[in-house]
Amino acid sequence: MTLKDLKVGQSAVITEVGGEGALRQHFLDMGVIPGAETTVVKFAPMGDPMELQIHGYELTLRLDDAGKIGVRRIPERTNKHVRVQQIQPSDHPGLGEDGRLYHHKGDGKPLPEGTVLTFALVGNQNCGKTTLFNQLTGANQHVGNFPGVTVDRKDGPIKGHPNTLVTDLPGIYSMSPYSSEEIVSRNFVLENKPKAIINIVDATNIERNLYLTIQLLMMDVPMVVALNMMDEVEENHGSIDINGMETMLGVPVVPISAAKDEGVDELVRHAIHIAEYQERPRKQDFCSRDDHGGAIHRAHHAVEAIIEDHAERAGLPLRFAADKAIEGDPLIMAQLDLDTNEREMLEHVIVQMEKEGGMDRCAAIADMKFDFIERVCEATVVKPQESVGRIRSEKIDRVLTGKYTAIPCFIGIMLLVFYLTFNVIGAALQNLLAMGISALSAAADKGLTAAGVNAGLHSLIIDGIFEGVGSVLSFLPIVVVLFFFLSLMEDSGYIARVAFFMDKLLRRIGLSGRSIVPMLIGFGCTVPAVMSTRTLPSRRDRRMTILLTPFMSCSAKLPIYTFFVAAFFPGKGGLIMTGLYFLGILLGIVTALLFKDTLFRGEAVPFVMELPNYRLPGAKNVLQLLWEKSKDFLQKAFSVILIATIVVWFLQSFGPSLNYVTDSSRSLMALIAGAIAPVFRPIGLGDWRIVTALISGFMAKESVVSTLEVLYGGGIAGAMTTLSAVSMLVFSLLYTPCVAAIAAIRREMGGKWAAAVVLFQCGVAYLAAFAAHGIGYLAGLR
Amino acid sequence: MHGIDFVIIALLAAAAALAVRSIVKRRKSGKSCCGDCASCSRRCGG
Repeated sequence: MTLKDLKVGQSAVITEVGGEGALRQHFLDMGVIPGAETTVVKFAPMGDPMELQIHGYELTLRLDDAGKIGVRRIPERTNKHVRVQQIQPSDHPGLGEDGRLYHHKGDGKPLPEGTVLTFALVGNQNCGKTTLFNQLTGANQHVGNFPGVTVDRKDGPIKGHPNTLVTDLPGIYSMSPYSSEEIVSRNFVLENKPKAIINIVDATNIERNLYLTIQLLMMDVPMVVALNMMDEVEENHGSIDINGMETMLGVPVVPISAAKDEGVDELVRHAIHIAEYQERPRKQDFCSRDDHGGAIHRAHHAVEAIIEDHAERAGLPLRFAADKAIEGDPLIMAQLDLDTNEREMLEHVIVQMEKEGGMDRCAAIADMKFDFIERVCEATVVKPQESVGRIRSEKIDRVLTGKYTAIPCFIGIMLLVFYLTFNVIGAALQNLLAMGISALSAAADKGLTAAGVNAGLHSLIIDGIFEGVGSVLSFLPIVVVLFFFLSLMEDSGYIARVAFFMDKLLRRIGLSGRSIVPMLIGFGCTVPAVMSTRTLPSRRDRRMTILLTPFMSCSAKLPIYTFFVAAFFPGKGGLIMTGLYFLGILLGIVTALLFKDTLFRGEAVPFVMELPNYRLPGAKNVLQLLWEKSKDFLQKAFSVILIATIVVWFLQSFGPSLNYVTDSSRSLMALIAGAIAPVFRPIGLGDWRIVTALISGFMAKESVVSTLEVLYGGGIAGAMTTLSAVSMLVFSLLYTPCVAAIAAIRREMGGKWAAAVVLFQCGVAYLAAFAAHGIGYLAGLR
Repeated sequence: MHGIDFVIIALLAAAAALAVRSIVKRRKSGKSCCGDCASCSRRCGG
């Protein structure tokens, strides 16, 4: 019997973990180990994937992968994960601080004065790591609630301690080489050799988080554990014996609430102390003589003896290297460089361990860690009642991820977002801003005339800069409102659910549910969408997702749509724009189906992830985000758009002999764009001004509107037909992303792929615009 | 051309130079930055 045969509410004990290589290791690292008890919580609306409860936390697994996990049904779980009822007073070990218990001031050998104390900030996804980083460094970072986001790291000194540097590493679950984030974090600790690690642990999900803690302890780097979200633990009537945990883990443990900035000062004091005095973990031996007859304990110590000199030569922490050698980690084995005899000895030891312990090597190592975690939690954790957050999330999920309600809710939410953005809030604010800009432009015009400014300069300022930049600026409210709603969905935890129930659908086009994240981000901007594909473990999935992201219409194109809708389809804004977005998605799906069996033949990445509780995004975070978004948009408007506007104005105001021309059809611009324009005639866009605008869109999509305004002098409605407007909308939706997006694609996939994306998107755009033009013509549009 | 014209030209040149500097700075940041810092900063794992 396998996990996928279980029904909702049924419990079982895991007997066998199938799969191989990285997938199997990932199962084990997530707690799916032989002997673990599990209960099925629910299935996604289309029956796949499934959510189960294991070791006290929830996990989602695809049915295909669940089919690889052998189980034996049990009537109910026998392991109640008993915890203490009450914290008993215990001695404070005094780790990581001056004091009579452990370390007197002046004892030990501190690092030389002036040494920069470097820290690695490491923890699971969704444990509040970035919030803590903000508190430590004072930097303004935004916190996302979705598991699996970009790999870029952040650095910054701790506030008030200029000789420190904290590096925020990506959220990871283990140090296995399963994904690029795990490798990045592991390599940072091993190669950059930070002076200390700050391991942030979500106290409300402590069993899950301590797995990484144990792996970090094995790296023999001075470390402090920050137990975050302690306020939530206490709110749910739980508590943790900090002294006891400190004794058992052998490192300082500091309770904090990063969101409320509680305990952070104490954490900083401990972190700086252990870094200065290089106080390494006092405990690195987690195997017990009582587990599985001591098989793992004996094997681990035997392996340490075999590889000790190799580990020292390779600069690897011994305990960590032994652990990985038993698991057969290829990267570590290569670094150890054992000779044939040593490899054979190693293999014999491991085989003996497997025989005596009754489980394979990888499962045995994972089991050892989870056993230790269980011992720590039994001794030090007063189990909270089921958290308020968890209960609330379950109630909401009954609707948002219900079998018959999930997809209608998602479509409804997206439609509501678009309606509010384009027809209500965004539109109202846009009108106000446009009125203000018009008034300012009129005042400037009057002022320049009164001052007797040169006609050419007057034209540059009013017809060029005000017209061009002003037209883009008026779209700021729409962009910000859309961005606001997308962030709300992400920060609240809803996007994680979307990934969960979209997985089965996305697999039909050759991707996994996790690919929904970059695609939804792509509705905001293609650049972070491309970068966030790094979270997908498989190269194939990353590439395919990147190639589909340009089909998700980014927010920079909104000014183009709004501009044409206002001029040619007044009152139908919401409908037209929703139609455009769905057209983009539809063509993306068609492309994916084509790629699936050709360029990207192969299976989508396995789907194993946690669903975080729903959280209401903090008002401060949201306002900060909107401010940053507005600032970015304004910076873009006054840099790229300003330059583009000036260049366009110059090219359309001066002829080939650099003489000032009043008839723009005699200008340099007309000459250049005019050469290309005939290519666009079949799709109704054979006007040099439109071609110029499209070319400028390669710099920044917002430039299309500013260029059109400058070149048509505000009279586009009279100069183009409705049919041409339709072609323009479809072409703009699909043609090449902007240069920044292409640069991001180039960085992820190489120059050839980036060039291919440009050509492919232009080709698709041309064909789609041709079809739209033809259909519109047949329908009587002119 | 009058004095005011030259003042305006100087101001426009300064604005253009600042704009170019801003663009170059972002390109050199090495992150294929589109300038949408809000999108990227929030992407770092929570």
